[in-house]
Amino acid sequence: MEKQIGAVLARTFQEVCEKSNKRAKKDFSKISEEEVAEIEKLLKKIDDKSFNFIAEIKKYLQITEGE
Amino acid sequence: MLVKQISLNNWMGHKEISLAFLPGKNLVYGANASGKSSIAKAISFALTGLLPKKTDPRRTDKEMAFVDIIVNFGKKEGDYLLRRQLDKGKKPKTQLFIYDVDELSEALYVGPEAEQFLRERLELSEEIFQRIIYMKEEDVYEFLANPNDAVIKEIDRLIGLEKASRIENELFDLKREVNKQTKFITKQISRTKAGIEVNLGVPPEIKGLKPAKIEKRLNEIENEITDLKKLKDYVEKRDGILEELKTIMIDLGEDEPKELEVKLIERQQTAEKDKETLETKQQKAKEILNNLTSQEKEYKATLTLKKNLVEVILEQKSATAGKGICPTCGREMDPKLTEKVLKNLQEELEKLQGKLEELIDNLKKQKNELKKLNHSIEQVNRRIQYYITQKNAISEKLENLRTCESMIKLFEGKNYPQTINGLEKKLEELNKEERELTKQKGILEGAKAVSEDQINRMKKTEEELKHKEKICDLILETITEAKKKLRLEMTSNVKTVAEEIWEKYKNEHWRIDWDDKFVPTAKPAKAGRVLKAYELSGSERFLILLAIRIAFQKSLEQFNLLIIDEPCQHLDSFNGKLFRDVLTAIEGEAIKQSIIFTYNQDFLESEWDNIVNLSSQ
Repeated sequence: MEKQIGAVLARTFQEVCEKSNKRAKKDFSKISEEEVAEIEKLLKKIDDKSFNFIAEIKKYLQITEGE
Repeated sequence: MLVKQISLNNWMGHKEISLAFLPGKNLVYGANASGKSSIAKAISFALTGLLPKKTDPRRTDKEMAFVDIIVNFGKKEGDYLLRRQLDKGKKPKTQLFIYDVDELSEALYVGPEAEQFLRERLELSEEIFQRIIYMKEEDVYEFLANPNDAVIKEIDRLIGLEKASRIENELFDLKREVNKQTKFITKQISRTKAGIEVNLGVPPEIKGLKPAKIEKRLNEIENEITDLKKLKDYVEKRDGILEELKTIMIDLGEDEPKELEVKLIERQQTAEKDKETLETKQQKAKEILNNLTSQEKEYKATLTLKKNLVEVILEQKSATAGKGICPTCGREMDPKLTEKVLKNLQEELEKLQGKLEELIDNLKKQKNELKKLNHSIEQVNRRIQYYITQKNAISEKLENLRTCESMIKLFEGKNYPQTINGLEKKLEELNKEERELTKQKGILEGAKAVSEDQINRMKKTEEELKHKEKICDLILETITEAKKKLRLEMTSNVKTVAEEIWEKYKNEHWRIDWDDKFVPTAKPAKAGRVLKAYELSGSERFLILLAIRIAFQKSLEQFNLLIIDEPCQHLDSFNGKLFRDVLTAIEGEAIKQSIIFTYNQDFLESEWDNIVNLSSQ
């Protein structure tokens, strides 16, 4: 059984977002529950060797080079 | 899990070999090139199914190769034989067979089923084998050579935080990219307005001028134009009045307009006096005329009476043969008397006729005189009326003149031109400026509307990018936090394991700590002070390395198997001995089975549960 970090990252992400939302003043600094849930899903898959987190987060955030 | 035996056929340097292992500490001793590492790789292959990288492990591809390993997975199960078979041929194909050791005639599981069975027991990948079970010579060397970074690097590697760090680095790059885009769009927003103004032809002199300022100036111009128009009206009116007054002054022979009224009143009064005189004359003339008219009537009546009397006398005379009747008493008169009476009457008639004619002449004269007087009075009346009208008109004009002048005075502070030409010129200038500003305002408002729309869209994009940056930050913070948590958890376990082993090995208290960068410091009882990482001995460092592996295996509660290939190649004999002592001091509860591969004969001097000498095989 391999040491998994995905679950720890997902749990930590939720905590980090909760704290961040409490102190966020501007709308763009706030992260919605749906976003947290979606990114948690991605973080949980991080231990999967075939899963490319950066590619997936880029896809989710719709970040393209030289946007 | 316990590895009990391994048999190799046609595997790397081994044509055929079989080794037995025991629970506890196993030493595989052999000279260089005796195939020690091949055996370690074979264990990895048997358990994970992954072939050694960049090499065909078959000694010859003309024959099949086998790696047989007898293992006990614990859980009160019996022993299993795992056979990994590599077919002959150019490309090695592998297949797994799992047998019950007590019944080798038929495999329990073959192929995918066998893989599934093994996975359920171990879930062991080559990666994890390399990470936590198999400790290579270079791992030890690297750890010992970099005492400051070694702990955290090793822990990160074992936990899999290398992957997290790699993602962290890539996320930093991603965030930088998003930040670059955010900065670009922020710059674009500030440039857009100016850009749109240029494109829409906003003149350079009003660039940066806000429509509100133009609006303010337009309002000023509008007020100024209203003022100037009023002023112009008053000036025109004033000049018109002055012109009219000038004509009247010429008529009246006056130089000063304000004296005109008095002059006219004086003239009116004189005319009224003249009228009065004329009316008196008229009255007298009327009286004379009346008298003359009465006289005329009297004369005419007397004349008629006398004529009638003459006629009566003449009729009587003809009727009475010359006798006449006395017109007074009615008695007959003699013809002489009659003739005398007639003569007298004739004379009286002639006198009366003369007087009457004279009277009629006078009457005519008097009538003419009266007519003249009436005419004169009429003229005087007209003159008086003229003076009154003029006086009223002048009063009104002077009043208007005063109003105009007081109104003109109100504009004095504004420094406006005082002449019609000056005012018209000024109005023309202001109208021109108003037209220009209205045009510019339109351009600016258009530019503003266009730029606001564009800027709003860009701001939305900017906020979206900032939000993406924020998400990157949160994930980075998450990775940092998670790494910290996992490192703290693991270093705490390592500390406990290392201190326990040290206490059992040397029977002395040994306190190990980590600074904020997880650099180890230790306080061995004998040292009497805290030693920093680089001051620790090789064996102390090696103990930490072992403790990391053991702590990690404990956290997984699974393997309790440690394979070390050439552990102390880089240590001097003193540290090498300490190293061996540490290794052999590890109790069975910490690591149930260890297999050490070495060429170093000194290891043979230590206590081992099982020694396999490859040199004698």
